[in-house]
Amino acid sequence: MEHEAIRKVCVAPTETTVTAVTCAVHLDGVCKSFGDRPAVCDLSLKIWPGAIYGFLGPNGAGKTTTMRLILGIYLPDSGSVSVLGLDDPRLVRERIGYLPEERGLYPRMRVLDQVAYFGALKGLSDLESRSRAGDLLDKYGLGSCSQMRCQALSKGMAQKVQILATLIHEPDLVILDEPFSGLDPVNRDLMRDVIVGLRDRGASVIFSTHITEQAEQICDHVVLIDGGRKLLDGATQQVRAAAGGAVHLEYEGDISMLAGLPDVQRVNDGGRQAEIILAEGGDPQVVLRSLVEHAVTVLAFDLRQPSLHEVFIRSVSRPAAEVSLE
Amino acid sequence: MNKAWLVARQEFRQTVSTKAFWIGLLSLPVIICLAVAVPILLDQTTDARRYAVVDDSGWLLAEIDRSIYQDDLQGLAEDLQQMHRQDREAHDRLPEILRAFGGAWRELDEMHRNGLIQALASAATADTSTFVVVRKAELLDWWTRATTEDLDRLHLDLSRQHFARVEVPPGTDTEVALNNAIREGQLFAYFIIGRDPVGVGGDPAGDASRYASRYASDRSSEYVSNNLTDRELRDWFATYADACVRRVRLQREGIQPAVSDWVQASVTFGERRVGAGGEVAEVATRDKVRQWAPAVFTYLLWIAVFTSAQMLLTSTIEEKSARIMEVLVSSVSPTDLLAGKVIGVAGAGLIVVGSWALCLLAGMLSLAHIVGPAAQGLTQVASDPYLLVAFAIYFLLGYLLYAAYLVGLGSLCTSLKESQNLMWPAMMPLLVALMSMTHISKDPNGTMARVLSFIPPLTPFVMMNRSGGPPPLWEYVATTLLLVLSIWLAVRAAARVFRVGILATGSRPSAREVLRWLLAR
Repeated sequence: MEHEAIRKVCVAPTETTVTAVTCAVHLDGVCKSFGDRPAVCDLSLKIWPGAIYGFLGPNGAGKTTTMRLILGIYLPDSGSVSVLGLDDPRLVRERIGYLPEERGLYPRMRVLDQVAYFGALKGLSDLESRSRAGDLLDKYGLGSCSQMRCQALSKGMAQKVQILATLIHEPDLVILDEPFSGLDPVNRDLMRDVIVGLRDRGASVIFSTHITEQAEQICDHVVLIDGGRKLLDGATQQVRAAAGGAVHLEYEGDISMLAGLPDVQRVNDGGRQAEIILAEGGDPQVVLRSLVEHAVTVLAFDLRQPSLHEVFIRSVSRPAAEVSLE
Repeated sequence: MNKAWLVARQEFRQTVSTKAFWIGLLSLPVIICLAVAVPILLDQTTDARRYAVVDDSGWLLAEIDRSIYQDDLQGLAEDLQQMHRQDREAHDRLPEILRAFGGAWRELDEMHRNGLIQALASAATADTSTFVVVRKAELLDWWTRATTEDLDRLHLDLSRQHFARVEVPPGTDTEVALNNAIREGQLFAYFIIGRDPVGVGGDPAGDASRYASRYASDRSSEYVSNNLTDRELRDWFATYADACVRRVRLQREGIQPAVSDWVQASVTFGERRVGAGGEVAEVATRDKVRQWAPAVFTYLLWIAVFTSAQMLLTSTIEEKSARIMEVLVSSVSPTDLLAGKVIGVAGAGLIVVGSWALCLLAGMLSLAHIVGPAAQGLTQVASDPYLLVAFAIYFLLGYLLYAAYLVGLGSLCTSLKESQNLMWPAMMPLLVALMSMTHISKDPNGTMARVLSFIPPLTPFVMMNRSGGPPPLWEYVATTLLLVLSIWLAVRAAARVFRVGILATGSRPSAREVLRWLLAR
């Protein structure tokens, strides 16, 4: 019931604000099964241009399958997939950039050749793809590595090369599967800048992630998928707002007594920081008073919307063993 | 299809940049060079086997020496002629006696040349030609004194470079001295010639049993050596001893050598074959070579198909394990990707095969230059456009069939080790093709050959091998159609498995799952 409420609140405003624009991706009642295992069930979704969409969900939720359906790598068993205005995603492959979760490069190929090859596969001429590859490598500080073989690159450099190979053809739709996984902080920031830059130039970006903080930072919209079904879909702020009130607390002491307060629904306790989810109609002053009464040193007490992490946890409430495999 | 070409270009570049490709490319030339060079090198670096002869007969060793001298002169005359023809400078550096001998020999016709050699080698002769009369002793003296170093320097080949006889040490205990020499490695072997190697003669009245009993009891000649595997010296010396002893036996029995030759002459069956028009023609060396040449081509075809398909399997598994596949299939359809990979590796395979063919041709042309007309027939067959075109076509068809299976297999596996267990369906027909090769060469239109031709995985090899037959046209057409149909089905099946398999991770899919992929829309 709670999930339904969140969905009702979130979806409507998103659709009403952009009706005049053709959506970049439209999934309508899409189902996809592997043998007798359903991976995506009756999934409907619209992705609008110039926005960043975060696909959230536990492992095996159906995120990657949904992405592959959008890419035309998989064909749906039922329902329809329309991408960049065409009903067959395979016809617009050259306008899509895709960075899969399990990334790889040809180990013996030189860096410049590698990036240029993926550009050529996306429809660029040999000359143009080599020229663009050279420019991109220079721009991202890899110019001196352009003639190195990929097997000689460090992990961080290889990840940069993969990102450049994904974006060399300046795609209108960019799909990134777990783009932040395995990245060090420097490359994580680089990836974030790239994603925001893509949005700023008008491209639609879809990325899947487990890291809700990152989704919260950069996503305009979030789509929560679990068990192949969409649990919620909406603008990030609206999704959080619909989840009720919360308090961000920084403290020293013991806050275990908060769990017994009727004004508190749940406490996500990190030891020195905690997110206190208020019950419907819960009063934050009651919480503050209780903390003072129990001699807890309050360093910060900030009334906020619940984090995406909380939304995620609240929405996905089934045991891990039931998570299906794709 | 444009993208398939892009993938093919990339695949080709990737393949030719691997060590395996260059090893494959260079393996045949290296093997051929080694096969030619190693025996020559071994021959050149092997010291002459030193041997001694204890001649209790008192006459046979002299006869053997005379025969060896005669054969040496024959070989020498031929070498001198070739040198005179091809390397006049080297010829002019030879000792004068040799140039004179070569000149005298060249002036004569074939029959008189043999007469000259015999006259020079025999103790007494009626030949009164100038060279024999004036220079016979001088030539013998040169032959006796020439050392192996002299002969190497002059680029001449005499028997002593392989087998050098040393004098028996003087003294009473000869055998003990020779045994010590063998033990110390100074001597390779020694021969003892019995007192009477010829044996008692037969009874003119016709008692044949005397021949048999005398022959059976003759155990007085011996060969002593510690090397039990190298029998070259023993066989070489025994051949001369046999010839000399037989000659004496014939003389004692009053049989003329010509009569002996006539008695011992074999019945000869001249080889003929029936041509396409029903005419009977003589069998030339070229025809025999042509009969066996397809087997050589088949063997090359086998290696080429196997290596190329293996390259494709390796490349597919590497791409899958390097996680490149998913990026590729987001840009290229699985069918284009599969087609590109197959075409790219086929291109690399054709380069390997082409280089082998050129290498073989070059080898045969060199051989023809060295050996002469016998090998020229071989060259003609090797450069036969019919065989070359058939080879190229069967390579492509065979490769496509095996490539389809192996690329499908590669898409299911994440490591080469994992793929080894699933290789047997491809290996079985390849092994059958290999094992039946000799039989089919001998009987290209037999029942077994015809039946195996219609099994598509065997068709390229069997039909290539049968081209010496050759099979009737309808069999070519029927087997090729069947093969093309099989390739079409295999490629379709491979594309279906490939489409799903390349993205499958984790444990290898079961046979049931693969079957489901095959039957899926």
